Amino acid sequence: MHLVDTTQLLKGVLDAAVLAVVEQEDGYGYDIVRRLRASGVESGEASVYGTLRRLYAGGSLTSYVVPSESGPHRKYYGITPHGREALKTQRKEWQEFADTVAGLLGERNEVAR
Amino acid sequence: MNTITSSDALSAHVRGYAQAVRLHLADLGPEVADDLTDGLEADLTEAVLDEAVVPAAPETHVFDLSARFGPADEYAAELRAAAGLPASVPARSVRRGPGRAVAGAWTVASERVRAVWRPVASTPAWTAFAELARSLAPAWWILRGWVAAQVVIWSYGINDVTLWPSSAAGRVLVVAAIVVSVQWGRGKWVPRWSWFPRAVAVASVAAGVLAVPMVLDVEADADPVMAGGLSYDAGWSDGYYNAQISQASTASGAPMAEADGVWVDGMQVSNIFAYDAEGNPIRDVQLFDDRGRPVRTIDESVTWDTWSVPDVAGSWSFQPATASDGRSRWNVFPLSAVPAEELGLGAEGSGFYDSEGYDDPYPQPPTGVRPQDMPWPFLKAPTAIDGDTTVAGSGEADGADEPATGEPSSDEPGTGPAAGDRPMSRTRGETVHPGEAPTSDTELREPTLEATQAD
Repeated sequence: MHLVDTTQLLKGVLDAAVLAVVEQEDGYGYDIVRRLRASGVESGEASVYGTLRRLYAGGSLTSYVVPSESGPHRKYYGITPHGREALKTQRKEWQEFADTVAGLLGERNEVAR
Repeated sequence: MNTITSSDALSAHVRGYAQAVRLHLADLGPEVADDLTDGLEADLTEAVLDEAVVPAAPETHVFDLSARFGPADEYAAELRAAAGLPASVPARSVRRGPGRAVAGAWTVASERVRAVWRPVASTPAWTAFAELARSLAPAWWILRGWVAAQVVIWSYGINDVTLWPSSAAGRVLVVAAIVVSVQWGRGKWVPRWSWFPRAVAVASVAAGVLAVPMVLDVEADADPVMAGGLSYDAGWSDGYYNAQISQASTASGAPMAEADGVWVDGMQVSNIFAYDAEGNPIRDVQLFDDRGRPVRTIDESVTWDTWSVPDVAGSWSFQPATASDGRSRWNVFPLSAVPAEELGLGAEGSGFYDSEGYDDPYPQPPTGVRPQDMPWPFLKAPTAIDGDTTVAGSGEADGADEPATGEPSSDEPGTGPAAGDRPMSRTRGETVHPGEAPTSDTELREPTLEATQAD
């Protein structure tokens, strides 16, 4: 499995990646990091946490606290309708971008279709 | 048991690390910082437990969280960058209360300026300009160093700004300051103090502001060099030389700014005292050069200056004579003067003028204050001129207008080719007229018609 580990490349799509992960299932900070990694997206943990806060502040995510029996509480994030809209737009933009770049690089990404 | 101890030690380290991260976010304010780091301990702990092998002897094990997550400040920077918050300025991290309010206001204001500027700053022309400006940065670093050195030199009381100081110490200082400034510009030799970048920024702005008058000053000083092809050090004697020749023969071209006025032995002359041939003082002598220009000791640019006068205490402001048409005449000597304190002027030299009448061409004495005569250097000139009663020009008017003692003129062309007999006791530069006889005054009186008229 090839990891998307180019930090600069990732910066532009981290929002979409985080939204996509949360869309699948609500999660807390490190949980989302773990699931991103499982999908092959290797990002700095602090970047993911910061992104979560920003998306939350922007209204794309909602959050709620789940008390933990042992240790500190967990702050869970869920996607909002606004977040779904944003993710939809970003998916479309990404697809167009990926097609453009693939065309430019001389190799159509048929799998992504 | 081991597990509990281990997690206790871990949670202590996690708390410490999270606290360090919070410290680096303190400038954002407690609300934002807490929101950013809410649940951080849990996330950190889980991340460590996810990957770390539980050590065999957990009580003594030191969890190096920096190795796992990177330094706390970098972690905080990544966190705030991803959250879309402004990067921290090192000096801000410990700021509280009003300082933080100022910093916040500054951030808002600079963001607004940037927003206004953005349409301009995003144009290709601006980008090209910015690139050009960036490529000129080294020149600015050199200028900045030079200005800094000049400020230090100036603080030692040498307030003449020169491009290249004459003293060895000054030169070393200029070179050292330029080297340091360039190195700082290249990001080298920069101390690690948190306040340092801001201090340099403030000092740089100050240097930029100071650079303007300093460069103008150097430019003004450099003018004679351009005009005369002489080194700057020769400026004084140069000025003297030019003043001399402009009065003696006007052989030189346009007078230089430094040579305004009358100079004797490198010193500017403030007042002139005339004596007649017998050595008696003459008042209200009008002086002109050979081109008919009035000879002024107090140039227009220095009429507001105050001067010290030999043998009299205090500083003085010279006053011009008033002609019959009411206009001021600065070429009538000796000039009278008014004490500077009567005019509200400062001490000697060009100073600050708090007098309200600064718009006047020269300081006007208040009502009741009359200009005073300045002391004459001699009651009687030490030398008497033998038989010289000549004035320039020709014709009858000369004899009649003789200002001082009414001595007659013997200026009568064609009365005799006696020029060769003329004694050379007269001063150089005076006109020698043919027909003058080396005779005494009394003898001259009779044969000349003009003398009779004058009497």
